[in-house]
Amino acid sequence: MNEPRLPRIHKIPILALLAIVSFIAVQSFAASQTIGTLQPGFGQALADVRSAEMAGATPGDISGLLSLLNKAIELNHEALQPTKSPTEQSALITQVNQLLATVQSNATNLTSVYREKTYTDKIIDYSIGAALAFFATILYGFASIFYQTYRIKRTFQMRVRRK
Amino acid sequence: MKLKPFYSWRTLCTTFIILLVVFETLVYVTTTPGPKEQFMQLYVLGPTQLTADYYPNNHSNINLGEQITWYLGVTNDMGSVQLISIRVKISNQTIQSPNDTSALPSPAPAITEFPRFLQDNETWLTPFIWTITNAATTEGTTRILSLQINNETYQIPDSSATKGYNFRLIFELWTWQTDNNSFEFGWTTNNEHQTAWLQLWFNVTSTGPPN
Repeated sequence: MNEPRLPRIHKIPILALLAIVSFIAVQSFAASQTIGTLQPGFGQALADVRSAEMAGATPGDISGLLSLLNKAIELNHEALQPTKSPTEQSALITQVNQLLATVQSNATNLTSVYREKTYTDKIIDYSIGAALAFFATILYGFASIFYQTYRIKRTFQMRVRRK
Repeated sequence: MKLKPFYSWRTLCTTFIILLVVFETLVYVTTTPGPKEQFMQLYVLGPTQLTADYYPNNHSNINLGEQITWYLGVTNDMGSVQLISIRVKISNQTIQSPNDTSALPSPAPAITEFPRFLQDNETWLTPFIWTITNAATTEGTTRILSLQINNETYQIPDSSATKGYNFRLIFELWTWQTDNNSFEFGWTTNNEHQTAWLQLWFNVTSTGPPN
């Protein structure tokens, strides 16, 4: 007797779940119609470029990478146009992915090159500091000898006169 | 009389250590960049790239098919490369504006966005040429049905205003957050969330073509 009632109890949460899922689906569809979605590789490319920047890459190097990324954004936008056929869209997305791969590869190379260069530059800078401290110490030593000699001479030159 | 030497190895070693500390501190100070204020700027300029003459004839009453030229500008002073997006939303007097305190964007429908990678200290200026291509008035309520922005037409899902007064275009600055892998309204600097947005009001009192 109770068996036929059980599905009714379970229908409510299922219906509610379906309603929520369909609402979210409609919302996400509406969003994708208005706001173009970027390929997931863009975020990774940004992280790679930032690593290169932090490693000490020059603004010129970074500018080159960003022009490729902005070109990829334009192609991504073009691919999202409803007037494009699936073949054209696929071709454009392939180009976007190729550009992103190029940027990531170049950024990784720049990171390793500049990280090494920055490390070497730091060692050179601190070595120069140590060398300057060493020479300044020697100079101080010579200055001390000169001052002492001059003071001895002055001491012997002094004459005491009885009044 | 035997004079005590004025210098000794101990004195020289002490001098060297003091000078080493001084010179290495100088090297550190000169090679390490100091802290910088991190911020971004968002602005809208008129057709002459000045903060003037936003609407034709200096009047914010816009006719159907009338072309309006603005420029959107963003400056990145965050100290690093940023992926930004200017989101364009259409709103009226009743829909909420973005909230600076809670860093919430406006719930108004987004029409389009302009994503861009920006270098540190870079300013990006892009044209924003727009036209209302379709609007209808029924029972004193004007609805904008379609809008053309930079030669692309967008259907507007729900945008109406009483008698066509007090429509507004809202421009919000979003930045890509690598932690969440998504765009976020505003940006975070020194554990503080900042936002940047603008709005320009206009009226659509005539749904016919311009005279």
